[in-house]
Amino acid sequence: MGLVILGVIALVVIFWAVGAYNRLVGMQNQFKNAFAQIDVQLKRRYDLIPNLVETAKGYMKHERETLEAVIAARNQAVNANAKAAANPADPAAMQMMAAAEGALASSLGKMFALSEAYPELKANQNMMQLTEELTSTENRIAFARQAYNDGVMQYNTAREQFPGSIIAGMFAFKPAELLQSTEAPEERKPVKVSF
Amino acid sequence: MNFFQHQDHARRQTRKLVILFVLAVIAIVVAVNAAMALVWSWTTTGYVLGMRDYPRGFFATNTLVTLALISGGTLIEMFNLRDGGDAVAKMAGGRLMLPSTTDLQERRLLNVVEEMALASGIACPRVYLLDREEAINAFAAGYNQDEAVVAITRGTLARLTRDELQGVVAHEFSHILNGDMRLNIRLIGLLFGIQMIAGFGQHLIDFASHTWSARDRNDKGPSARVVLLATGVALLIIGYVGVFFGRLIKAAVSRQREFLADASAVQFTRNPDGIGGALRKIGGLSRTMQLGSRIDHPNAEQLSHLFLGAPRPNLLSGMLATHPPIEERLLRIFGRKVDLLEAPALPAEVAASTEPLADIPYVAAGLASASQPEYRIAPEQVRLVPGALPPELDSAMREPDAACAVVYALLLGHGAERDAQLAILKREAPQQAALAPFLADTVGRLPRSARLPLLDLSMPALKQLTKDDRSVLLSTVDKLIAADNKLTLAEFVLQTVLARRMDIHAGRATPVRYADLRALKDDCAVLLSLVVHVSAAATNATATDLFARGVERCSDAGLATEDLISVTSIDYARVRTALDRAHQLAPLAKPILIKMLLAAVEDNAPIPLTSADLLRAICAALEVPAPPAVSATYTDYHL
Repeated sequence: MGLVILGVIALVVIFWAVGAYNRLVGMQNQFKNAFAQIDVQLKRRYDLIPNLVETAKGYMKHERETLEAVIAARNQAVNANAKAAANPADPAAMQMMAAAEGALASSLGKMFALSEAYPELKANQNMMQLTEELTSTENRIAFARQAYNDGVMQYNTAREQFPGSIIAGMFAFKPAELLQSTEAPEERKPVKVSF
Repeated sequence: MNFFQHQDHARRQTRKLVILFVLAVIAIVVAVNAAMALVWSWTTTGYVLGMRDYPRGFFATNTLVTLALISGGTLIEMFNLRDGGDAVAKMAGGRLMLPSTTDLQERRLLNVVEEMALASGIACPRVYLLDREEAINAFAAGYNQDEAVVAITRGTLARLTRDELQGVVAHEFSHILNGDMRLNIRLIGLLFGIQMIAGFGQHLIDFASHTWSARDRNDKGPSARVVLLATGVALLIIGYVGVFFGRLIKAAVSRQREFLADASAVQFTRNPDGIGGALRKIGGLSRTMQLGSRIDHPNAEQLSHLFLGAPRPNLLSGMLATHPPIEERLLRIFGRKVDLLEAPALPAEVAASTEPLADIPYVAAGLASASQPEYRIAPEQVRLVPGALPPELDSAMREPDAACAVVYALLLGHGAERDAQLAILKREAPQQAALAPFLADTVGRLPRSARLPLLDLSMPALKQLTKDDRSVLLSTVDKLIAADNKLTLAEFVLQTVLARRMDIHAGRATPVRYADLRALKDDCAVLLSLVVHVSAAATNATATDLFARGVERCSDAGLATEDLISVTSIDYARVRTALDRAHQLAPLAKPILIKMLLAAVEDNAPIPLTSADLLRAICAALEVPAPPAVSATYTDYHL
């Protein structure tokens, strides 16, 4: 009789352990997927920008330098992104990517500021759609990063809380890193308006 | 708002309430047993409390029968409510929003839904619009995450800012993520089961009042009729009391889930002003215009628990309300009392000039170094500006029945073949029999590269056809093609694209049967041979060279140059089977196949139109997006 009870207890423990392991694996995959999503949204932004420039070109004939600067910044960001993706552990590549993203954001900002002076451009249907798509893309990048951080937080909590920590230790589940802010130092400075 | 804490609280409350519900069911079982015991003793001894010994298995039988009634009712109701999210959305009068929409507000809504899908980590659900509702409301339905839908009213789009819309959508996503519909359906099922006990009691009463049993004077107890009556009344009372308390509990659960959804909305958007602003506007709207979140559609009441705000606010209040009061919700979101907001329809952004901008060139100069893009703003839509089509074609494409005529027009040939086809049309599709030849003349004047894009443009209207109309369309197309006993490449292409897009199972996931290209070596050989033969006919290269190029660029299929199949051995049925099998490839293997086919054709020169059409058909058959090089072939078409 005592053996039966022992056997039942052992079975319960095993089922719990399997469940805990699977939960950890599930959470790990969730945040890895979220990380891949960030990349997808970044690519979307890189692809939208040339269309934006082409639309604006027709109206902003005198702003060639600004438009060219946007395309150049975008190409630079694509390259930096590719390099960073190839060596994710390399901090220098990550820094370069952050710098390139910052440059892209500031050149885009200049372009949008200039486009305020062209009311026909702002009201143009294509331009409105593109602006909406770009806004949505920026949001998506932010939400993808947020979802990643949320996923990492859930995983780390499950990993560290007792009794799940036993399983995590037994099967060597490593802690995951949260994404730090990728704002370039320039973006943190207050925007100076000059006329 | 400490949303994680609020979420935990709501979840705990839900758990308590569900346990309460289970206790209620147990109480019902006990009550039924007690009632049966009393009736039994009354029958056998003449006194209500006389009996001491009950027959063996008396209580077990009572318990089993009661539980059987409850679970049977539950299963029946769950079966009735098993329709997926789409059925629910259509029942509420929703219209599916297509990803190709160009309306700015609808585009914004679709973007917001995708953003929330990212933030919550689930797949993007389909979006429905409740066109005729002016109030601010939304609901999410779907038994599980894969078939979830989100529906928004027209009033929401018109009255809320982008942030508030985001909050509303995030609230709905919470319902999907937390399985609220599933929970609700289970509770509804249990309630129905409990109601079956009352129904059973009602049956007994009816039966008893309509029978006339002879009274045996020797019997100590009451007649069978009275016994039945008493049992029926007892069951009726127990049933209805159970239903009453069950409804109270269910309403309480629904309210807790609303709090949970509000907290999750703040979590996903990290912005309490989003959902908060939307709720304030709902409150403001109901104050001034009695509109609030009211839904006028007759089916709304059945779905009341799924909505963002109470669809019939005056009907249920207090303990039976499915939604907590707006002030309470705002208090929890903001942590303090806030004012309600007015909710006028926001002015739509106005397009100043009606003159369309020149087509955006497909690839801007700087893109040469970029890798394969994942997202585009539907470049093919930008290619063909619908407003500039011949007006009869343009209006025909937008209406489902006329769109069928457009499809037939694309297939009409000349001379004797046309006569045979017209006869077929008169027989199979009399409605379009006159329109099709008329449109065929218009279509004939357009360049050849316009055919497939025209079919694409007609797709939204064609997708609105009912199942029966779709099968009529497909069978008529088959007959039209067979009219001249020949299958040309153009007809094959058209038919493949149409069949794939019109498939009623188009939305479902295909089971993956083949993991990589090696398993389909023969079918790859068939497809590659077909593509190279078509290209060889259009360009100066030989089929063997093109085949060799394809094989060399992509070795995944394990093909060799000798595997080229001669033109005569490729027949329609074989290509069909090859395409069907390729459709069941693993998702990551399909692009490799397309790359191989493309490599054979591409040569730094524009792809010939016939090859491009064929590749496009193959991509449609595999349900893979066409590669940019193929789409670029159609850019030369300017109306």
